[in-house]
Amino acid sequence: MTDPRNQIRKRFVLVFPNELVDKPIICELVREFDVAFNILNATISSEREGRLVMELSGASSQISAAMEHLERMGVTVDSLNQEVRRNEDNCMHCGTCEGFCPSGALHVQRPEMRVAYDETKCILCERCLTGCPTHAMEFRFR
Amino acid sequence: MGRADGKGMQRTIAEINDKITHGGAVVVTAEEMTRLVRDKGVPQAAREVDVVTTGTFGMMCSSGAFLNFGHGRPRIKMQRVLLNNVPAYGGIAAADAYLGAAELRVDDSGNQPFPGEFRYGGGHVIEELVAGRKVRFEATSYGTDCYPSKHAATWVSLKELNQAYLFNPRNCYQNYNVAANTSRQTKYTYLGILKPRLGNVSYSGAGELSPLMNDPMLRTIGIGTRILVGGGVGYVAWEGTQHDPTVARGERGIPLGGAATLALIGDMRGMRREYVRGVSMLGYGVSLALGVAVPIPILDEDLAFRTGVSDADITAPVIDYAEAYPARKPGALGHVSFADLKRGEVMVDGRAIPASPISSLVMARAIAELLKERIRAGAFLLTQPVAPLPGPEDARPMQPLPEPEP
Repeated sequence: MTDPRNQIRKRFVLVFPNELVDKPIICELVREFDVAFNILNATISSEREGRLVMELSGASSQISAAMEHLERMGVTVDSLNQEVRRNEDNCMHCGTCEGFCPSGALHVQRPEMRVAYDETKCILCERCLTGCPTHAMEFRFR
Repeated sequence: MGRADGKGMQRTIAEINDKITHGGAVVVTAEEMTRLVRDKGVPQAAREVDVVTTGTFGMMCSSGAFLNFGHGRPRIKMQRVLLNNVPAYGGIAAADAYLGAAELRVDDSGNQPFPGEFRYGGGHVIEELVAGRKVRFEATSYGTDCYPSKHAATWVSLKELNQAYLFNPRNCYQNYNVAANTSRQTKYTYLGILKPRLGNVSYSGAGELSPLMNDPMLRTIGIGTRILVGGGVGYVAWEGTQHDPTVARGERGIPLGGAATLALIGDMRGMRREYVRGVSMLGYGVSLALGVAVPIPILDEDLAFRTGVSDADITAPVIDYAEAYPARKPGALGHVSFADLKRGEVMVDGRAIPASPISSLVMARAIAELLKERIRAGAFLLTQPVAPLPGPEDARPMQPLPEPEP
């Protein structure tokens, strides 16, 4: 087992060319590199190119090795440098976002009825960018 | 029921104002009053409390601003007026216009591609003016002997405008629909985004803190009542559009749906941006989210009883915004209490469904607290209404648009 002190958590954007879309690549990562994954967002384009936003947790060295393995196979790996942030000045705590945020990242704290934003639960679906009535949610590059 | 029977504590607005002026008036918010009445009973709460402050904060589309820009040199009869590219109504006197909260920019693509984003409109211009920002002004006209100019363009801000006041034909709906969606598609409504197959419900309103829930029979709220609009001083001007106090009521006199509304007026110069917010409703349009606070004088035990209303006493109809609402078909999917709505889950059709608000209780509480502090500081006196608003007996029920003639 890996030393828990070296455990890290990192998000990546993986782009799969169409010949790799139907291969069990993520499964191999788990078996061979002992990393855990959490899929945040997955899309396949009309050209059958796959885009996967994923959070990996495991030993730092294992995660690096896993990503090198993916790149050798032809997967484009980008560390996720985008995030959805809340502009606190614009949020009026109306709660509209709770109705459409699919992951519960935006949720109303009861009974005080303040809207909380838990960035770690955000799956980057981007619905809040257009759904928030005061445009309090912004897309940013880290 | 603990209702007033003509006996018990009595006080007048003049007596309350005397206490406010000299210090010592007891002011609590409507949420605090609910707990006080529950803990101590109506007679004791009536003796202890002079004023209850209520508050609401939500999207109120029927809002807008009357603005006077001053006269240019040469003069222009401002027929078409644009503010940051949002049209204001210029069919009134030369230098006046009315900017509606729900007006879109001239270059807005409407609901295309669907759902439209509606990122900027009248409500946003109003927010920017209140925030003290400069706004692009453009006016065109046809030219007359007395108003020869045909075009004017400049920048304006609140401090240059001669008059700038909100005049809102319909605010503070006493009660409102809870929106649901029984169809298989997502619906984009003025009550938010509704998931298919009853995936969620959304609602607007502050429940037990809401102004017209605390004076449901309009005993103290009438024409001329001094209030806070957008954080500044305002007044009740008239009954609001669609005012219909004839709707069915529960045992405490709380209407089971829509009911009373208020037309409000308020000077934009005293307002704060946090209580006056332009909003975009995906797939619907633009609007203004506005904070309003109304003081209720506790003149007798009946008013203590009324202001003791709790979320459990208030129910709202669940309406299907996929079918019944757009087609104007009668019938509700059920009735749910504000206690359940605020808890975040309601029962509809035997199913537990997540409920989320689109109005801000946080901001409603803030403006009710603001009014409480102003009254305590002696900076806000209560008013006797100049005339009452139409009540259940003297109002006429709301009518639909006449059917087209054959």
